[in-house]
Amino acid sequence: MKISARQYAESLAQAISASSDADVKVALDNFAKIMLENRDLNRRDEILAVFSQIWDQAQGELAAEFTGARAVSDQTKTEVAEYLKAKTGAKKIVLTEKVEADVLGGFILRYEDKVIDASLKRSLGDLKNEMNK
Amino acid sequence: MSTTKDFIIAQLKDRIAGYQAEAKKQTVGRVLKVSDGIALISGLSDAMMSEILLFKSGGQEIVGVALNLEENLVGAIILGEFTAIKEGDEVVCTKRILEVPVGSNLVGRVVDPLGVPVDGKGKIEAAKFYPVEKIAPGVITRASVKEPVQTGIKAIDAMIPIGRGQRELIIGDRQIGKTAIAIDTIINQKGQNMKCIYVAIGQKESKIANIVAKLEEAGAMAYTTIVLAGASNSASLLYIAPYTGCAMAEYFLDQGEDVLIIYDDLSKHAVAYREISLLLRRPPGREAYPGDVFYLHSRLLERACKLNADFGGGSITALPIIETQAGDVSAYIPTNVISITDGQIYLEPDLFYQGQRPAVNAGLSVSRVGSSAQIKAMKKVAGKMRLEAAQYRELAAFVQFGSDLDEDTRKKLERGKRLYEIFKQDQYLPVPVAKQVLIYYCLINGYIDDVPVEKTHEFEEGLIKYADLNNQALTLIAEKKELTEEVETEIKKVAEDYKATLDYLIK
Repeated sequence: MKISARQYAESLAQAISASSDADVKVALDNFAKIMLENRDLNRRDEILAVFSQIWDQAQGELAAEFTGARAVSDQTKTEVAEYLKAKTGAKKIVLTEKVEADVLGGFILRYEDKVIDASLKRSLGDLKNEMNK
Repeated sequence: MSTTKDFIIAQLKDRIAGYQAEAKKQTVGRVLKVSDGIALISGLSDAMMSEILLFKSGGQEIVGVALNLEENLVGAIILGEFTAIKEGDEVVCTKRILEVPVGSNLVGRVVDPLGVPVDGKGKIEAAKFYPVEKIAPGVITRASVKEPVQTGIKAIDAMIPIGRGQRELIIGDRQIGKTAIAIDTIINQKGQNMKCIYVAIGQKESKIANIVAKLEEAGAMAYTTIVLAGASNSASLLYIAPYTGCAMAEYFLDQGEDVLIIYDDLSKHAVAYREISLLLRRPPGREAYPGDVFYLHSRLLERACKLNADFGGGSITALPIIETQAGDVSAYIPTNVISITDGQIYLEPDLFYQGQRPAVNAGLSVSRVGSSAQIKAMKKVAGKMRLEAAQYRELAAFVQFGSDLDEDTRKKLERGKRLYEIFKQDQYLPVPVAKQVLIYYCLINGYIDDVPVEKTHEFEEGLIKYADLNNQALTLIAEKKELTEEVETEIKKVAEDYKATLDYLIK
């Protein structure tokens, strides 16, 4: 039976959560062995990507991307992070900031597969659509 | 001048005041893979089954529909130009199940499976939007089929009556007159209080252009909508076309009207669905069709119904068409659809090439609704006609051995020959039911026995013309709808009168 990348990643996360560093090393060795036995070593990138997702989730870490027209102050960033924490229940927010003049004003916030679009660009687009109706 | 300007400015201000800017939370995904009208998308964790997805590719928005919801992937069909979509493009959910515009403004138009007009007659203001997929009406809402759909085709109205709310399959090889039956039926619905929808699935656009021209010529476009998914459209559009047609029919059903819908043809629909399924990597079964190909057609044809008076009393009559390969009715799709429908009209190549057109095979064609979908007069004259026609075919085959015949058999043969002559009918010339009753009455009561077989057609035309001009018989049949004594005397009189004017009768 073929084992999916998600199954691999989930079992690895289970095996190494709440164990000491030495145990983690043993667990990782065993994991590598199993992958070798199943000839799945060439899928390691895929598995690792899923693993980091699962790990982040378990640790309450949430990656988010904040796009604005200009660089924003640290205070705004903390506010956004607090908002996301309250909204998603994550414990830690890893916020990456992007500056795109295209946005014109406001911001676009992306996390997981959600987008909160409060940009001036979209508002103007919507207004245009509304007028065309 | 300035008043116009002020008016425009006031309007603009109004519009702007009415617009509220708000931040929207949207679920987005990224295209992982596109191929042949199919896209695999990551993310979109909130996507619903058959939800409309918008692909934002190269500045335009392309519509897609979610069909496969997997653990961390969404498989979608793309309804439109899929060559513009690239890997990594953003896809957003719309929180709307696939829906199409419906309403009486669609009547007389040619639209694509998304309800967009393709006849160049301008935009359609839709009354409403209906979901493309809908669960069929349940038992409580239904009534039994009892009113007739007059197809205007003599062989069908007499032998294989179709009722309002019935599903009658038209099956046969290519180029044998399947579409012709459907088109004649549409033409004959003029003044019968029936809306018609013709769904073309994978048909040549030249053929459709022909059909539209013919329908317009016959004045039938006044109550007909054509849903066109041509041969050049992608499989995704072919797949949704019949459901779109049905949604448009359901609008009229909800208004309590009667609708006739023709699916031309479901074999191509099954092939389109097979293509989509295989591209979505669903496991193939018999003839490489997916496991749910039966459900594909059963859920569509179940939506044909006759509602009871409490629910408006409307009906949807479905005439699906299936094209067989070399007369093989036992292939997968034909057997499926035969088992779903309430009967079939089987068109036979041999009959067709013998010049018997429409080439309806009396033995293999049935209507499970039967005579409850005929007016009383027709019931009386055509009661045993299917049996007689089938028996005649067998006898005729037997007689070829050249044995001596008894009087009874000879009579049956002679009657049968004339019956089959009457069944012959030209395309685009449906015959009203009153005229059918008249000619059948003459046949079963022996008025045609002394007309030479090759003159039967001439006799029929002459008789109808004569009755039209000189006699009340036709109007009486149309009014009374049954054969009272008064009507019978009138028919007898017209037959005798007309025959007195003829010189070709067998003495």
